[in-house]
Amino acid sequence: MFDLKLFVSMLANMVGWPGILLLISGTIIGMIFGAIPGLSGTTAIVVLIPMTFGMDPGTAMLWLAATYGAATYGGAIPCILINTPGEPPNAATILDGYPMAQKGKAGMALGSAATASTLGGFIGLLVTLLMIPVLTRFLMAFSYQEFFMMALLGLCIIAIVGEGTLIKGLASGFFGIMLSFVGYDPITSVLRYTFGIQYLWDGIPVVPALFGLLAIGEVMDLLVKERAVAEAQSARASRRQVWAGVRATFKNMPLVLRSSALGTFIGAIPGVGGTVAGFLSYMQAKQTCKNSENFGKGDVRGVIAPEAANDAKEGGALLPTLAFGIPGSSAMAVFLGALTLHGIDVGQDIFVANLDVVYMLILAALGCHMVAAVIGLSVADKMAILTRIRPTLITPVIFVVCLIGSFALRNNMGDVFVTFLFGLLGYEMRKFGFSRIALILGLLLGTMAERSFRQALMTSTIWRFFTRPISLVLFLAILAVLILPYVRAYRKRGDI
Amino acid sequence: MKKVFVVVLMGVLVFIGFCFGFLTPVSAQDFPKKNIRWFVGYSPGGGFDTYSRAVARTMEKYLPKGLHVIVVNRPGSASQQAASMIYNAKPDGYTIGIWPMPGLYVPQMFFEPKYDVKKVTWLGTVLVEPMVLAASSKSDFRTVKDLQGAKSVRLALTGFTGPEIAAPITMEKLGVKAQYITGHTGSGQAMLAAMRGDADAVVFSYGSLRKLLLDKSFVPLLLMGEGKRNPEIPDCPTATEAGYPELDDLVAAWRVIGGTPGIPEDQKKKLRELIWKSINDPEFLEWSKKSKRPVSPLDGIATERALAKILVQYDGLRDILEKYMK
Repeated sequence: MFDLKLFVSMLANMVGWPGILLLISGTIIGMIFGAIPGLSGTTAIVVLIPMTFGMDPGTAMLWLAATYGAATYGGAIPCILINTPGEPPNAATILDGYPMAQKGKAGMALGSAATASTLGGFIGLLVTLLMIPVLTRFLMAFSYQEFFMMALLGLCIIAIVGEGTLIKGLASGFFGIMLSFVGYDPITSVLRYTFGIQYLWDGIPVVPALFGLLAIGEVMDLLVKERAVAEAQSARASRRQVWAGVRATFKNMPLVLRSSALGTFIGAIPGVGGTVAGFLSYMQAKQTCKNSENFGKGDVRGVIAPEAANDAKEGGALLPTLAFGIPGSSAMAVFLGALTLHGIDVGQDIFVANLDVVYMLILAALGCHMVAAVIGLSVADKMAILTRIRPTLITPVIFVVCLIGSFALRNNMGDVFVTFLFGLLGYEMRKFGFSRIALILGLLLGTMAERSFRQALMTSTIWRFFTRPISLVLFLAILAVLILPYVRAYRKRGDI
Repeated sequence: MKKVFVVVLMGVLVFIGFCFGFLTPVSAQDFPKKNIRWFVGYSPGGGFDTYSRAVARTMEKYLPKGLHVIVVNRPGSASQQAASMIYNAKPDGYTIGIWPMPGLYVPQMFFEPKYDVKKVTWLGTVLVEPMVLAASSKSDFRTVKDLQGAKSVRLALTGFTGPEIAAPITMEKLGVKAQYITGHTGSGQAMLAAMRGDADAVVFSYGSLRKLLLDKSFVPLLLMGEGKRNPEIPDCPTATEAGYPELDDLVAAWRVIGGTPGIPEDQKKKLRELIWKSINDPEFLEWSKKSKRPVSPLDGIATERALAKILVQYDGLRDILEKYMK
């Protein structure tokens, strides 16, 4: 039962002293960690946990939740400025965020990302809290067939996004799927294609590969062509540009609402992964918005959709965490660990014995989005300056930051080599017009698709893919994604 | 010339002094002189990570001022990567970690991982966690006999590595015809699979299942590795009560602290004392009580003996385990 008096008391704690200091400092720390490739919001929480040992649990959760919540927006910043996601879930923002920066509209992209993140975060939390019974049933309705269809739907994005022709996109995507087979077989645990190298037992790590393909590959291209990210005179980002981004987000509120709802639902399903939320949201935006041919060329809606979904998904991830004690994401797992370290039993009694901590977690998640929006919008025009810096100055910094970020993930030098090798691959792919995003999607979703397909066949027949309602709907969505572009093109030719 | 001679002589004397400094073994009184690294083979937030951070936090109280225990997460291959890091580090006592046993012995029985658990310097045990065979409340199974009488029982698990090797051992010893649905990315996913009806039962640690047992999403059928009934699930029989005492020995998840092989005796003794003090520290025990994370402390010597016994028992299971590992 909702305790209004306790809720207001926690709100007062958050805006009082030292709550407000922790909220603001946590937000800043989260944005910095999110913005530096390799240092995610989860890493930020892990680093901060020992510093919270002297605090009471509510205060500790305020600081940690503010840090994590802000990191999801922070991850959009390098997407837009240097074509590298701060965290994999931000990857979809690159599709239009970076082209916007190349056109000199980095300020607008950053402004819309900040606004969409804030709105998405709010909506995700509110939807989760208001619709817990519905979301719980939805979560339970997702089985292996649905996971497979989700992965397939995600792979279909290859058909509609990214660089180069469809054939090259598919080639990249399938190459990514091939690479996803390296390591332990997800069902039998037999090793595949590891050539006796222990480092490859867990497969090719996605995040270092992503840094290499996108950041290093891009950096090499900038160096070779001796150009900054943005050439245009209009790259002189101003506050006006940033506010244009804010206005564009509010102008596209239906898109924000759709994307946030999608992100919330996907976030509520453990195991789907945050990256899928961003890409699926991008795909639904491209399929449903007018003048969708502008997507991929610097359309602000291509930033709004994934950013709203990305922040909303964290609200959704709260659901299995609070309802079942099963972490909805890796960040939720760390939160549960942090709660346990503070002596809180994260079992069913948390809503009775520690309701104050739950309320503080939710309030901090809401509060940090507001603070992040204010800070983000204030400095967006300054950050956009990075797009005009000479490549000989900026590229070594990006190079080193990415390599350090790769190492920081698992304290493993092998990840640094992977980043470097994929950097070379990314450069060549860019040169010959092969989609790097498609390769990443294949690498990311290949394992999920294989695992869930085989699990589905272990538990039922192939026809269950088409007799389960949600699975069937997803299958029809896949057909729509693949066929609609041709239908539209045919209609256009008919109209001429 | 004389000046040159004196300078050269002084240089030689200084050099000899440095050599003595490097060659002289560090005595126990000097240890530890720098931070200790503690490897965890799983991602932050999970049970192994939480226990590690709780013990590490307490250990710092007993270290010289300014020294810390740095917890390093090195997930990969069900903790085998972290095990390799610890095993192959310099044997100076500054690299230790938490080992999921006897799960890490099973890959060693069939493959050639870069560690040998029989040579690890065992320093102590934080917890010997009981495992629970539990049926989903959506299934029709309510007792072990129901499982034994069924044509097939679907068991959800992540794989046959690490602590989850307990699942096939349990099914084999109980004589249950099990169909294993593997591939789940974590225990949470496997439990969700059973809750929605894709599987009938699971075998996981009590700590992982606790919330779902208490809210009746799962029905506990057998408690293994505890020796006595758990007051939170009083109707659940122990393996010994059910007539399978060997399961109480074989199927328990040990969270053991171990270091590199070959740590000098005096340093090993100091580390064991440090860990023993930490896991019996009143504040640590208070945390354990408040957070409902039980501990069952064992010192280094008792850990060594107990693990040696268990590994021999696992050698006897080679034929059973082979069909799951190969």
